[in-house]
Amino acid sequence: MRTGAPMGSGAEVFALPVRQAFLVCNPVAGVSALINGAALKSLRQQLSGVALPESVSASVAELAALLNQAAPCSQRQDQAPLHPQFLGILPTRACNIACRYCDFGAGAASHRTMDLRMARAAADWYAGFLQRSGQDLMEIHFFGGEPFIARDVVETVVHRGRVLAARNNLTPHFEVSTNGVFEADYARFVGDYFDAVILSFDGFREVHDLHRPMDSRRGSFEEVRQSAMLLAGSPAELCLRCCVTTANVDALEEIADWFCREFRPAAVNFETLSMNAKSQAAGLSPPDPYVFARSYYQARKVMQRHGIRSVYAAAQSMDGNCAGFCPVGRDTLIVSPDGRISSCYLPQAAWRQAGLALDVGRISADGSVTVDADAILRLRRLAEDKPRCINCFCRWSCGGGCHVSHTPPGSSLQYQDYCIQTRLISASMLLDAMGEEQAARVLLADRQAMEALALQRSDRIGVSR
Amino acid sequence: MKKPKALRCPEHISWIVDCGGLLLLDFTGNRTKILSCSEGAVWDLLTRNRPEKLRIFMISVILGMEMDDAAAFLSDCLESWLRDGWLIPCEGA
Ligand code: SF4
Ligand code: SF4
Repeated sequence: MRTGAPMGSGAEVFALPVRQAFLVCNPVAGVSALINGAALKSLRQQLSGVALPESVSASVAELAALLNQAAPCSQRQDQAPLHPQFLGILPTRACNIACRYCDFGAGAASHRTMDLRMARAAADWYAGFLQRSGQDLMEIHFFGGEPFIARDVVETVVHRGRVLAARNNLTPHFEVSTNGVFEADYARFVGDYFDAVILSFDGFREVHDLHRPMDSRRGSFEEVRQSAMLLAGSPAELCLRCCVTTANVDALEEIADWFCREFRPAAVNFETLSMNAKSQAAGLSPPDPYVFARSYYQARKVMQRHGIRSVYAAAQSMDGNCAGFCPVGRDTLIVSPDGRISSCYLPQAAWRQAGLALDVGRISADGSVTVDADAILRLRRLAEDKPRCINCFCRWSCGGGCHVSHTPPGSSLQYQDYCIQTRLISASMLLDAMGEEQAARVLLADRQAMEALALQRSDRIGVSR
Repeated sequence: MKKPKALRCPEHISWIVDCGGLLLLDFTGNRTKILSCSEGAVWDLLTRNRPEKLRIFMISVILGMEMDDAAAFLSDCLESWLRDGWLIPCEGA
């Protein structure tokens, strides 16, 4: 007989039903296995310290030891000094097109653009901070609105950033999220000076134009296709971001194939529509989460054949950082045109309405920068404080998703559609990574099996928290 | 200092941007020239035909200079690039 080692207090061990089998995993340790019911029973016993007969225990004990590793997350996070994931610049909240699902309030936004001196002050502060703290990657991301309608701001920050980086021995990295509606000439600047371009592109003409019109008369497909083509031939890394609704969910495989053939992007990112009053009024709806999970998986397979990375943000990084994919909780500093520094790029009104306070500092008119250390600490803890997520195996990669739209304070304990698709996609990715592609396919073809996995209340082996 | 006329980059000149600055390539003259990030900012604003006043203002912000100093810096860059054939006057200028 061997006595099992009781589960370590910080160990994150989960089990998920995959038809007749079980996927057991410790996402933080990067360990997973597909086992049968009898093995799961032994594993549970082993992890709770119950003695097992020698004959069954050798491999189970080995698996238990691998799974039984503690998560390093919260202590490290709390004590660490400020370490912004990146500096974000919002040159303006205004936009030059009229997406039917816009979440950023661009339609009603003021046309105010960031003062160039403020933009420079942000870059200067960031470079100084990196130097003082011994970091060497100067990562600056631009969001909007549409950043390229405030070109003076973008260009000033890019050139100032490059000058500072050269002066201080920093490696500059510029990234922009754009709608791609700019002249062909301008694509050369974008491709030359940006390391990564996240271009919103919702697939074939009909759906793209339905989702992302220029105005009430015409769509933006032609402009965006042209920009994608030009950027594909530039030194910048191109990532296409496709918003998925009921209108394009059935075509993800074809869209992925077309994107890969036509534009050879570095990655394609599929995210489902976040409902808001505007998208509702336009008659757009998010897809059924089970259909999306299946479609995404198929698109992912197509892209793997092309050697191109597919991205669904909530399932992307099983990297042991419980802050998830959202920049909030990662010390991110995003500067708005009015000088506020926040960790989220959504309009202040959106997160206030959700009961959140995501401002972390300010740049004043004289260029001085204040970052509130208490606010940073509070946001680091935000991802850990999600009752719905405590027993979900995705908490390490998803981190509760968007704090504003998925898990605002007081949100229900029930899984939402977002959770269902995230859980299914994460499980199928774990199966794939183990070489169990067939199990993933069969799972995603069986609605009942998908429901059993996606709706399981607690994934933990042992006591739920 | 003479005010430079409208200038442009001739067709046989191309450039590559990297994090240390900018590399100018002359395909007919078989020569290259390295520009620092500061000079590169001037080159970029000029070759994209940003209006002169805006160029001066942006360079003053980018390089943290007074407007007069920025104008002088721009003018020095343009003069030397014109002299060395990296830029040529626009037709009709
Ligand atoms: S419960 Fe939902 S929001 Fe929370 S970690 Fe799981 S999938 Fe993400
Ligand atoms: S809270 Fe939501 S909108 Fe804001 S940064 Fe995070 S994911 Fe984005």
